[in-house]
Amino acid sequence: MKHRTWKRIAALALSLSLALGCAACSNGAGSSASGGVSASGSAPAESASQAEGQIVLTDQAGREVVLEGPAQSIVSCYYISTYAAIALGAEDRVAGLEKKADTRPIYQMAAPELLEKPQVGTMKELDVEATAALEPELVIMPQALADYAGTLTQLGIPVLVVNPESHEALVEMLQLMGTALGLEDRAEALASYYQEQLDRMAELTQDAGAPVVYMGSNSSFLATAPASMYQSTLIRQAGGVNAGDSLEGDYWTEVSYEDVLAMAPQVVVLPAGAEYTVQDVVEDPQLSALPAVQDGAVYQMPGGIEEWDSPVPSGILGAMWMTSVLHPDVYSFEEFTADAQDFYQTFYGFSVDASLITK
Amino acid sequence: MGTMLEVRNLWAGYTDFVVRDLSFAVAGGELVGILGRNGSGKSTLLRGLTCGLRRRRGQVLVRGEDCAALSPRQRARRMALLPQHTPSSPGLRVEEVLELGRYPWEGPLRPPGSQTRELVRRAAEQFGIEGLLYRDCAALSQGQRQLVQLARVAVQGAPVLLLDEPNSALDFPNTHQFFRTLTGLLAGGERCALVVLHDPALALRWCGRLLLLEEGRLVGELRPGETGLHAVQSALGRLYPGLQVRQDRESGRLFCAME
Amino acid sequence: MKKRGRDWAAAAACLLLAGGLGTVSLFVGSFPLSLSQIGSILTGGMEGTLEAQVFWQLRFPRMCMGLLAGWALGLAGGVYQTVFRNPLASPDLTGVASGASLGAACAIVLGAGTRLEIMGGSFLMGMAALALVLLLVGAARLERTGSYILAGVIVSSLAEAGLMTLKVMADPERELAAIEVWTMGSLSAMTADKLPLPAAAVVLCTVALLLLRRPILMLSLGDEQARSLGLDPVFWRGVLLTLTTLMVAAVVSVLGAVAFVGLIAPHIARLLLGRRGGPYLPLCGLVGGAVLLCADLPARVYTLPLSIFTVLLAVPVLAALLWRRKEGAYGDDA
Repeated sequence: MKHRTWKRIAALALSLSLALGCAACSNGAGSSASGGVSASGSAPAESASQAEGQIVLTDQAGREVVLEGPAQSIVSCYYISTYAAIALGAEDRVAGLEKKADTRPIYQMAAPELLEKPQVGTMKELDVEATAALEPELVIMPQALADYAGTLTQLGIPVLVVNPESHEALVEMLQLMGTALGLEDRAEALASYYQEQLDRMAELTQDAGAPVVYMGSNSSFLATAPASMYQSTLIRQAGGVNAGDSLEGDYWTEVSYEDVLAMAPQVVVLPAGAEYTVQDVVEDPQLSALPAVQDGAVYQMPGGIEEWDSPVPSGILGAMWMTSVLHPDVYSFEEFTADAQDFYQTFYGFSVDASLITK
Repeated sequence: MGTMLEVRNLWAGYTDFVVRDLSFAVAGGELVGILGRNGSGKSTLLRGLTCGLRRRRGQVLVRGEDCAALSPRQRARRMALLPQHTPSSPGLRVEEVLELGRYPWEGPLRPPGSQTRELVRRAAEQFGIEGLLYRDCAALSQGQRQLVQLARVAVQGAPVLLLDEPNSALDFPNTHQFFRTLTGLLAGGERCALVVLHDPALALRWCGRLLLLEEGRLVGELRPGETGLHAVQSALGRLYPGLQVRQDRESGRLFCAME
Repeated sequence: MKKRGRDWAAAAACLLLAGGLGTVSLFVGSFPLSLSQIGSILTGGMEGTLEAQVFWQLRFPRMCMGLLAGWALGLAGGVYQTVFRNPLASPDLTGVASGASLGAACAIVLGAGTRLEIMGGSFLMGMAALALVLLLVGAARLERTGSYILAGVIVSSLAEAGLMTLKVMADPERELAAIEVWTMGSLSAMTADKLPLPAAAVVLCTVALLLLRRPILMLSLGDEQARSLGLDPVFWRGVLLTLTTLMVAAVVSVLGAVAFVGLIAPHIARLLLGRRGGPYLPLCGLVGGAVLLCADLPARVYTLPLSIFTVLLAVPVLAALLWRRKEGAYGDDA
């Protein structure tokens, strides 16, 4: 009876220690990689005396953010803010970034060194300890992670919560980041480029007719953007009418084939990350009567550089690409290609391969 | 010896009344058997006595005190029930089951004290289960489990014992051992027992008095030591058609046979 | 003294295991903290440094909450399994955990999603789920243990349906992510200020439950016997389930729904102890704490939800249970 007990206890202890061992090993590898970074860092309280140099911001979650000076090292837990760091020329200040960075082509092209940095969080969870270990002067995170903001603040690390849901919010985010990093001029240049191009597109398309545009979702063609979504704004800015404007909702809304046929879009646009192809749409027998299919006006946004259909810093290119697709007579695709290459040269500092710009 | 349990016009049942208008009394030291066919309301009667049923009418008095007005714990100090089916309760030791018998006296918060442990030890000796105290209840045979339950009832210390077919899982020698122990338990006159039985021979052998139940009503009462052979024969024959009651010439005891 | 030997051995093993895992937990994390640093932090040194902050704000509370949550779930599971006399009874299967999940999801989607709202929501819905289970059992007029489990399955399904509706309604960028992490459980957002409220609830309920271990054992004898011993089974089951639900909801509202801890911890405790009496309930808690801490080690290294690892730990235990049931080790009505 008794030795059986001990056997059981021993077996349990053994299995637990195995699981423990696995955890401990993998942790050892993780901490040695980040150890070098923390050794070179210094306590952020050094410049506390120069109170006049303080930067006080209100972030997009309405929180007050106090910085002792322009942040020299940042952790960005959101791809849009990481893109913005590149666009503001602050990629060398990024000490850590969001997970799955290797799936974003822009890092390879514009700032390959970022792929070597520790990746600390997803949209769902943030590794607070790993973030703290990088001892950044500022952490930039999306609204989805805002719960963690208080935690980091308690550790003495300022947090800027950003929420780029629209063009306006994106420009505001760029300006907030510009101030926090002491790069107001770059932010201003980007913001004015935005305004310039928006005005230009509006001017170019004001006399042209407004075609009805249907935009499918990433996962399914039979889901489209209602009026409140960013995609709808994009179409409007490019001088088009979003077919889904009459739909209710804040996110991709399911529709039937019948609905799509009733909308009778003249142009169909697939997002950059669509899990289906232009060919799938064109060859779908249910859609053969669609004006866009009959006119061969089914396009997919290019996804080889950045997600132009999202509110990213290069999101203005989405509106411009859309304009060139909807109104090639006033803004040709060649013209757009040149503008896009120019944009990346100016703000990201690299020349983009024209073959990545498709329609 | 005074009346220990008195039942006055008891009606009891689940959705309908199964026990109808029963009245009887049991004196201290008495071992009273309840006989009846399946469905005649024997088990319902025992449950009705402990107020464990939804539908119930009438009075149950223990030493002249009406039980309906008492709290469940106060009632459990006066009446102990040994149900027909006891779940095996895997994981509980015999010792713990016996200790739980003191719950009516100690309540939910007090841990079993030294007095309880002494009572448990004595009961275990009395029923010959001291070797089982640290065994898991689920690992016992049905017979052993029945003995444990009887010991638990003894530990509970209630003057009125209600036993529902206590011998259903016991073999021949164990059954008689059981009743011998039970008789010993009642000997002081401090307790009385009401036992539901299926075997009229056993009832005639051990009980001082028998209550005969048919369709929830009391249809007869026998005192095996005093009632004559013919009266016993006619009463039991009505309940169990074809039953023959015989008398042993030497001991004068009654026993049963089937035609 | 032979009869107590196994109790002591099992208790010592669990204490050592939980304590050991708790200690190891203090040393594992993405922030580099060396042994000597932790030593001096524990003795009150390095005050004001980031290292001390990380230790006292993140790592120590995370370990405490892991232990506390595992304890609460394990203890609740032990109480459920004893009271329902069913080896499958656990907060997961009686509808309480899914009710609490739904409550938290409601707070995230319909409310502002503050911590207090989530806590209140999960407690209210956990209690509502329990009330519904009791109501169903009462309406069926079938006070049997199986009825509770069946009613629990019904209520769980209902809560799942509610959760699915909320997921569809949720804003996919923000709330959906929060709900998803929440339904799988995570300690990654644990900080010192989230500790006191659930700790108070768990300590209070633990004290009450340990004091009430006689009614708990008596309910395991079945309703009829419990009643004949002077214990009102319906009333006491209600009291015990309210206490356990409060405890589970308090924990669930902070770290989300962690699968199977409440189910396997009592089985491991029973396996070690060989019975349900004596130190069984505290042992369930200790084993639960150990299981949760064990699952949190890989979870904190890979920043993954806890349930992935608790399920991995549960599978061999449940398989062993299946194997042992073949041998009838759990009695005939188990």
